[in-house]
Amino acid sequence: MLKNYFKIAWRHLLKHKTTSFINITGLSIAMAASVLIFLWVHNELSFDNYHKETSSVYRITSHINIGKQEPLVWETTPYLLGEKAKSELPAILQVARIRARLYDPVNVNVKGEYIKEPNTAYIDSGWLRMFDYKFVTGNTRDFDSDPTAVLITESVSKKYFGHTNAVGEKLRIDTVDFVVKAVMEDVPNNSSFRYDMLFPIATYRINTRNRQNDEQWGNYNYLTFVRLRPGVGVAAAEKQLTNLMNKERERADLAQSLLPLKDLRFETTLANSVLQHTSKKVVYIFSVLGAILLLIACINYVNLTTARALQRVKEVSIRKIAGAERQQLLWQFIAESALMSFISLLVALLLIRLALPAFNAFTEKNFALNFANSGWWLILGGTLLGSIILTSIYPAILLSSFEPLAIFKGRNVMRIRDTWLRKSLVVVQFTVSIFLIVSTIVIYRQLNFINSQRAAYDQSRVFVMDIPYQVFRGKTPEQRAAITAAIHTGLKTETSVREVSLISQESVVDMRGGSSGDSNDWDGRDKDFKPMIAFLGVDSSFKNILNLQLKEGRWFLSDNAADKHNSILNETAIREFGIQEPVIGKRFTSQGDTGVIIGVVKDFFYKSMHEKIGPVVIRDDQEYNSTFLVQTASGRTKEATARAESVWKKFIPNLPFEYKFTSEEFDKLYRDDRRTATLIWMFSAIAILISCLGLLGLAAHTAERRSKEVGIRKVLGASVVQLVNLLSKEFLLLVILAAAIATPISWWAMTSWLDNFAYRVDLVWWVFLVATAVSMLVALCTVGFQALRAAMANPVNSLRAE
Amino acid sequence: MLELKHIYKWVNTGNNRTFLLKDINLTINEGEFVSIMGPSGSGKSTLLNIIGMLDGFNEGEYNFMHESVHQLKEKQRSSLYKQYIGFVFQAYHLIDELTVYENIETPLLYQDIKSSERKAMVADILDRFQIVGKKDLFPTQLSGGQQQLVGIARALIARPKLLLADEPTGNLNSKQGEEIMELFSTLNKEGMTIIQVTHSEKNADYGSRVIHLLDGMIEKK
Repeated sequence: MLKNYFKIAWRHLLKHKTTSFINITGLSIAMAASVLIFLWVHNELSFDNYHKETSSVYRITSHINIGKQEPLVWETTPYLLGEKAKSELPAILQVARIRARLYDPVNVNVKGEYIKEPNTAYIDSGWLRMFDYKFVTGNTRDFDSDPTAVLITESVSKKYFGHTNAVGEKLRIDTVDFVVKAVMEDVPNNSSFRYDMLFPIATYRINTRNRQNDEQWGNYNYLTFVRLRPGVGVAAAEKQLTNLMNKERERADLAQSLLPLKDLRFETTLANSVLQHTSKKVVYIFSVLGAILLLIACINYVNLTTARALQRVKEVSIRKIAGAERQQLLWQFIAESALMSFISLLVALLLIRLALPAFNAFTEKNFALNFANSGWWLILGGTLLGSIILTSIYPAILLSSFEPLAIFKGRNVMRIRDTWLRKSLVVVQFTVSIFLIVSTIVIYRQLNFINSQRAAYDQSRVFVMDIPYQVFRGKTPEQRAAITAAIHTGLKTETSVREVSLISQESVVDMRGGSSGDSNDWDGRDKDFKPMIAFLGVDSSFKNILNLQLKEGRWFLSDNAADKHNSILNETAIREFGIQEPVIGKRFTSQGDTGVIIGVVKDFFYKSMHEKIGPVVIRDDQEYNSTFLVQTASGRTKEATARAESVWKKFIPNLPFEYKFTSEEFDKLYRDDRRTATLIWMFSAIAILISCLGLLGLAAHTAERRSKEVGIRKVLGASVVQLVNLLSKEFLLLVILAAAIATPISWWAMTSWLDNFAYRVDLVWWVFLVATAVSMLVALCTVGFQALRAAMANPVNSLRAE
Repeated sequence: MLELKHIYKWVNTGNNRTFLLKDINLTINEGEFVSIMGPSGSGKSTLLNIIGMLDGFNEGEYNFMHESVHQLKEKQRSSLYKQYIGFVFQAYHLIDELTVYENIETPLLYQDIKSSERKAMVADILDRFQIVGKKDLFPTQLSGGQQQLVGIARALIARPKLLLADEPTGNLNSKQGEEIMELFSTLNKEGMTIIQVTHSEKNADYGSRVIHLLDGMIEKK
């Protein structure tokens, strides 16, 4: 029986080639896109769930009260908390701590060349017991106690040794030889801990100063994970931890909470984190978008199948007369949908295979078509099932409903509600398309707006070169000044370098940090007013590199010793501090040092446009500045970086040369936004394509159905234009209706998206008009082609057939 | 075999009631070969469809093989005709996507008959109608007469007791028509009860009894 179902399904597929082509093309493209999205969603939702103990593991969060403001929330805890919790708290079964190597990055020394490994960490002895790692070779028996031990991933092993069996090999990091104890599999896509090299905490603690740092309750440098004893409630454990912390610190201003390991990926509320996070909302939005794409393609199948229902009336009637039960016919039509979906899935798999490298680059993941992975089966099976259900239910119910006598009745068995439903489904498709087109335009306009920031100065000619902290370790201020002065001179004397400035911030497009407190003062300040202020230490040449505009006053002069105590403020600072006119010459104390305000600089972007520009205080204070901002001569950028490298090698021979162009940093700042833009753009392209494919099929069907009417009208004297108009009008009305529905939805969605930005474009009305016009144009081309063909046909042909 | 008592069928258009069948009383015994004749619109096909249980009626009683059809539920009714009745149509109504073999096999699929048994039954009938050589062809590759032969084979495959034929030769030339009527006559001699709707006196002559319909009523017996 089943064989029979599939046999006839296959023959129908071959017989109606155009319809089948439309269905399979649309469905397979949508399936490929959906599967890729679901792959990503599945990966996000399965983060950190592969450890044996995932469900009982929690990360300790510290909430520190700082007076009236919101408490500070940190993902870090003191080293000592882990020690004490393990030994003193009954609720805690196991403790594991990790410390990312942020401030002492790993520079692997390969025959004198330094290669920086960005993702490395120290782990304590509990780590490997709490979290599952798959080791390829070697073992971790004496790893914890050996300060020269290191664990590396297969990729790292291949990179330095050319093979994955590196156990016992030596890896020189800075000046110390480390021994590879074991090689582990590359970090899974769904792990929060993306470290390629793991060092025992003993490596860190071999240094006396480090150890002393660790022994203080005020240093929050570790992520601490705990495994609760079975039966212990989270609240009870939190209370024990809080009490322990406050007792040891002899204060009561702190609370500890526990975050389940499976929620770690979605912890987006932290101001700072060493881990990467995704918003759960984003995950949900993308799952919905993936499902919608699939839905749009399924709508095509439903529409085309029900539109052609007339051709199946005879078959259904005969089968019923031959004794078929309705249920048996239901299954037959479900089998047809299933076959179509299955073929589409096979084509989709091919598309996925082709798209996977680009998709991996896009998501920065490492997905592979791996059928040993149960996740793939879940996604492919789910997509197939979803598509079968969406495509089969309605057509199967409709087609199997014909009474046996319908065979004699001809056309009027198709009830009006069916065309009504088809029209509604077309409206759904175009609503989604218009929504996505509006989103695409708005997002691109916002990105354009962001990019207009670049116009202030040529970012591709400006790079930052940060002198690593290690260089200055243990040096006196004089020694530091001597080093920076030497590098400064070295850079400045290059002809390919136009301007050099020594600044306090590591970046000028993504400035971090700032402070509040009593060290800033000005006339008229309310004693309780302690705003967050961004401090920027610069020198006299800084202004020209960033092309800053002064609103009033002057910039720092290199030969004016008094300027060391003076400040320049941005417009926001003047406004928020409430400094009265005349501003220039007013007393201003910054970080305890008093001088006057010598200038007001127009507001400039120093961090992401997602955030509001805050008060900025600029000082000509070089003492702790360690970042060089270099502007290259026009057209000599390559030369300049090469020169910078040789200067670096001369003064800092044992560390790898590092520099970043501000244009790259800028791009990185909006990477997520650009990614969203690309995704939405692709979504709308696919949605439009699929919707038009469906429209093409429907229009062809309508033209066929109305061929007699067209013939009669033509004989009676209707022109081709009038006929095309007749056949296209109903479809265009549907697009207009879709626009009416899509407009408020997209207005709402885009307003919420734009609200993520402190600086944003306005949502202008013509965006909706353009989206509607584009959809109408595309629809008109699709429908018009079919309509024209019908209108141009010789009426004799269509009338003779009757 | 079957008995119709005071059967009425009508449709309402606005305030008017149009009668399709009026007070039909008819008894047909096993082994009869009955022809229903009458001008267009006299209700021949409607009567045949009612007998075949494809269509309902508004008033009256219908007994078929000791079952009261008018009291049966839709499902019971369909299982009844599935078991006892075979249909032959003027336009053959073969499924275009199925081969001759598959078309004939279709009714068996819906009766849960085992694959090997199905094969044997279809082979038998192909053999009997001498269309073994055509079994893998599609309907469009056959002549009208051959298509009707397949249609009859399909109607007979499930071994019904009653064969209903609605102008079985209407689309055929006279030679093909004759062959079909000869076949009907043979089948009748083998014990098959047959009711056919026809326009042709000649075809009606093959039967044992003729019923004339006019404006929904039986004219004479």
